[in-house]
Amino acid sequence: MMPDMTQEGKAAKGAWTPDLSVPTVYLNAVSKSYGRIHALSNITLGLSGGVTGILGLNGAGKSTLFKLLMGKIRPSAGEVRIFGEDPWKNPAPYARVGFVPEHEKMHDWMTALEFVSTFARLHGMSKSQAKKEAVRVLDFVGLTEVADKEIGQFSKGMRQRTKIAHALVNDPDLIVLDEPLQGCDPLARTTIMNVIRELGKMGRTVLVSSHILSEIERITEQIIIVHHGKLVALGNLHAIRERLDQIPHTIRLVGKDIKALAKDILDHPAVFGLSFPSNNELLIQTYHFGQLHAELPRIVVENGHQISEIDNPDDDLESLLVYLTGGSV
Amino acid sequence: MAKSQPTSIWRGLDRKAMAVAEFTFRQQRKRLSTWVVMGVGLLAMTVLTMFYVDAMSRSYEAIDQDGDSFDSDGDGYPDGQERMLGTDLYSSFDHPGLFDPPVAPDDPSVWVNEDDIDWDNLAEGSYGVDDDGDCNVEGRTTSQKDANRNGVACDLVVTSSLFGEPIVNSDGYVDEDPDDEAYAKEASHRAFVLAIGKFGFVFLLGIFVPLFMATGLIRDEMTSGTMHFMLAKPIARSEVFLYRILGFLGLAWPYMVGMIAAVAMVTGLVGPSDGFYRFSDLGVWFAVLLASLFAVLVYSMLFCLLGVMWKHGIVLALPFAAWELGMILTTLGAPDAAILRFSVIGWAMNVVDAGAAMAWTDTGLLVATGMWGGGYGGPLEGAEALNTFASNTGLGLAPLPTMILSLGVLLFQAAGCWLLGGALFKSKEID
Amino acid sequence: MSDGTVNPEAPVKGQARMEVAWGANTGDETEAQAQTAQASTSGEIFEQHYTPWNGTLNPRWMRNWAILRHHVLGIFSKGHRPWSIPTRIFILIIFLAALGDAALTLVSSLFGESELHTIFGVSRDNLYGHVLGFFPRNSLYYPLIAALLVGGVISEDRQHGTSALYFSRPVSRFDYVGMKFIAVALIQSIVVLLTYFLYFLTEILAFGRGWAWMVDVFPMFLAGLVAGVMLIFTYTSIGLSLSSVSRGRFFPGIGLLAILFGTKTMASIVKNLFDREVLYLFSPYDCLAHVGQAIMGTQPTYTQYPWTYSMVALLAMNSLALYVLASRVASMEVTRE
Repeated sequence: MMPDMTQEGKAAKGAWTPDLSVPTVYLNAVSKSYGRIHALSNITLGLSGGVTGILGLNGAGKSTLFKLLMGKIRPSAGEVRIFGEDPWKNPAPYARVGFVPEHEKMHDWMTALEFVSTFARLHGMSKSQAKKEAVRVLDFVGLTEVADKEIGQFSKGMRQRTKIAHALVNDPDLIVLDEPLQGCDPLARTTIMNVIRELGKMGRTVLVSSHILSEIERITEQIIIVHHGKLVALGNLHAIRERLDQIPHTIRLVGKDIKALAKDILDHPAVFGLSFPSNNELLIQTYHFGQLHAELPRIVVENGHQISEIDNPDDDLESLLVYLTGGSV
Repeated sequence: MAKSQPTSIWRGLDRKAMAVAEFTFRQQRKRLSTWVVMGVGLLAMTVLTMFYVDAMSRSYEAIDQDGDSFDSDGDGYPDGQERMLGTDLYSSFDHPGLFDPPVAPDDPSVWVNEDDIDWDNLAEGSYGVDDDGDCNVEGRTTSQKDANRNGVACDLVVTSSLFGEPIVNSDGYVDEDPDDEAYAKEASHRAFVLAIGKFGFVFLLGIFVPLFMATGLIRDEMTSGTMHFMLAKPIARSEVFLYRILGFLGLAWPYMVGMIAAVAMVTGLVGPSDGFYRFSDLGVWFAVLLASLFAVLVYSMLFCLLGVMWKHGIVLALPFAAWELGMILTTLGAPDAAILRFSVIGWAMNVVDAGAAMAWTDTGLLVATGMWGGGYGGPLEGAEALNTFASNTGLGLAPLPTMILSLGVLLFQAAGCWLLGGALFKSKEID
Repeated sequence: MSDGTVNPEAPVKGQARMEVAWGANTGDETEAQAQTAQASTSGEIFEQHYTPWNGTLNPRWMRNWAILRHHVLGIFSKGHRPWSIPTRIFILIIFLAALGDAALTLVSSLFGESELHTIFGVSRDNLYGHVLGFFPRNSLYYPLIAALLVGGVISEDRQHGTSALYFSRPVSRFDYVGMKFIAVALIQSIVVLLTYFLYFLTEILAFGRGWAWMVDVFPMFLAGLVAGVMLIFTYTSIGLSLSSVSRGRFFPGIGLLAILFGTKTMASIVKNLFDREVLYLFSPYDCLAHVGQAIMGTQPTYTQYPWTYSMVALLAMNSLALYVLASRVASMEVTRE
């Protein structure tokens, strides 16, 4: 599965010497507004190396951020730089960039191999080189068997992987993936996540966007949280989570004899509040979510309670955002 | 590794161009609508050509323009024979049968189409020949024999009018009964070549093929979101614009060449000629080919530009097509109207007309003599059609400079559309 | 609910979310026919509550009226089918341009029954010209409107997947297409027929025409109306059949114009070159014009065959177009393409 690192065909690569003083991705006070809607406001960001997850709800500005990076749209204010170049004015840095757009629509009439090799040729590769590279990346994403099938017949996960293959064909230093896991089944998710992690290990700069925290968690620890066009958090996921543990968290239990269960749980040091929204429902408030979550099943079983549901409604991006933004979601 | 890398930036550009063009070409090829459009175009041109073949193979009625196959006095001798031999046309008691020795009466059909127009020596200022000898007969006065007063009896003079149109001035009874079928076929043939060249290839195919296939080259990809793949590559947007057009031309140009070659082949073989093929038409066909290829180029650039400019680019393209229809109709009647300079089709028509002027130098004369028709009974069959579809080169220049200038203007228009389209595309935010 | 026991190893399930997704716990439980969960070897089946809908369905014509209204009102205001802005602007411009003869009639009334009135006022030729004249009405106005309207009316629905919005409701496919047909025809008749009425009305008001005149002219007027209805019907059926076989908004519009202008151009080439009119039978416009000339009694311009041939050709064109439309709609897959 590992790509051939000494591969041929990196057309623009020979001329390029890494300039370590310049961050791969650099945004300085960037804003983008459509009329009166501010899609992004005053984002400053510098990234080099490793996998970074960009989290945000739908419409938070993740895609706008990527479009700015890919020179699709022009910033209303501020400067965007990729490898030190303005992507709106100069497409040259894309020789070292791979982009996976969120759009579902693809060129359904091509085979995966044709698709990847055609776009490889846009990097200045010759036909035979492009084909060789295409075979390599399709193998990397695990699509060798279906390389000669038309994309129109592909499942969603295969399409996503084809898109990723197309983005990797020039062996890029920066890979931007817009919602690569959306709509994929668990198997495809796992494959794609492995691919992304692999790329991170190879020292590439990878940007992945998602609106599902747990997905990003499985890929990377470095995250950026975008909300309402603003950067609300940037850093290690664990650090953010640890701080998240300090705020109240809710666990919801549904069962027959819920009052008895409440008695047993009340003594637990992590619990600081209980409430009963209905006869067979129990809400537990805790400051130490992780700890309680680990011990809860044991308590339930040891005391012989009957539980039909356990749910933690807060454990998602939304609650994280509530915390980070002070409750203004 | 070094071996496989592009040795120059040009090689890299070349590879990108080929990749995008090939991609576009294959994309168009995989679409059903492409084949429908091309098939309908083929069908339309085939139908027109079939009408032409039918017109060439049917026989035209031989008309006795001067009426001298008629026997006015009923003595069995046609008027023409009587006139030539100097007997009284209107007296049944005076006819060549009373000569010594008596002359047998001619079959009336001898006096139909008996004095054809002498194409071989008919050029401006030259003289026709009174083939049947009914002009220079005894008993006619000198002034009757020289009605056009050029000092030569029984001839035909072609002069130019103030507007450069040929005027036929005959002495009377000279070339007065042309061969209707020969004329009709020659005139219809030329008229058809011009009509299908101008309206069929340059106008119908030249506008509708790009309208169907080039309007969406960029716009469709932008709407569906697939443009994102291409724009995430190290390639400038104006390059994408140009290479997409190249890919389209890779399909449209061979199609036009094939169609024109096929029709040229059929008309060359079927049309009236001395040999087995009308080589003299090739110049016209070449001009038609040039004009339609350039028209397809300009229109595809323009429609693609309109598609880039606005989501509803088609709304702008349709009135433009209607404008071009108006302009091509204008070229027929007034090829030198100044307004034509603001169209694409006007310049393309100049190319065709210049080619026709070079290949068929005597078209104007053919029209003039056909409209004159021997001096009796109006235009010959085919003359009006040829008059409709043939026109002068419009710019007031000689044919070759006209052609070069017009092709240059078309190229300039295409380049302008590309630059504008590229610039617009570059400044477009793509969601 | 299931039996209520839970193992320590049991995964934390999102039952609450499943319930929201299936629409339970909305107060309808008492009426619901519940299918209880069944044990399965390979997994677990969640409880599914099917809630029957006991409302009354509005009559068919009312649902169809809603579709029609949605399309036609979209021309005038927001909140209905979003016809594109340029389409609406073009319709306005062409509506005003089509009123040109009414305006000129009004102007000529200032001078009484003068020369001007014979040129612009209501006459047999002018009524014919309003509906069937080639330049500019049938070269620039009416086909362009038809092309813009049919440009997306079915094909865009298919491309964007919005036809599923109709077909997931109690609307039959033929009602859906029928209403689209009527809507497109109605919008065209605003431009063609409403202006025709206004032209006639202007003449009556401006010149103070009495009943005698009206009775005199009425058959002619009626014939023009019939010709206009035929024109609209033919353009709409050809356009919609193109719209049903293609995707995107470009193809049907260009296709309609290509058919109308292409056949017309070819027919007139053949007429001018070889003096044969037979190709006019393949040109929708010329067939309409021929039939229109016959029923309105204007000077015929097609002389080589009787007008009934054109009528038959028109019938053939329309039935072919409607057949294509019907068979395409019947076999249409309700997916996003």
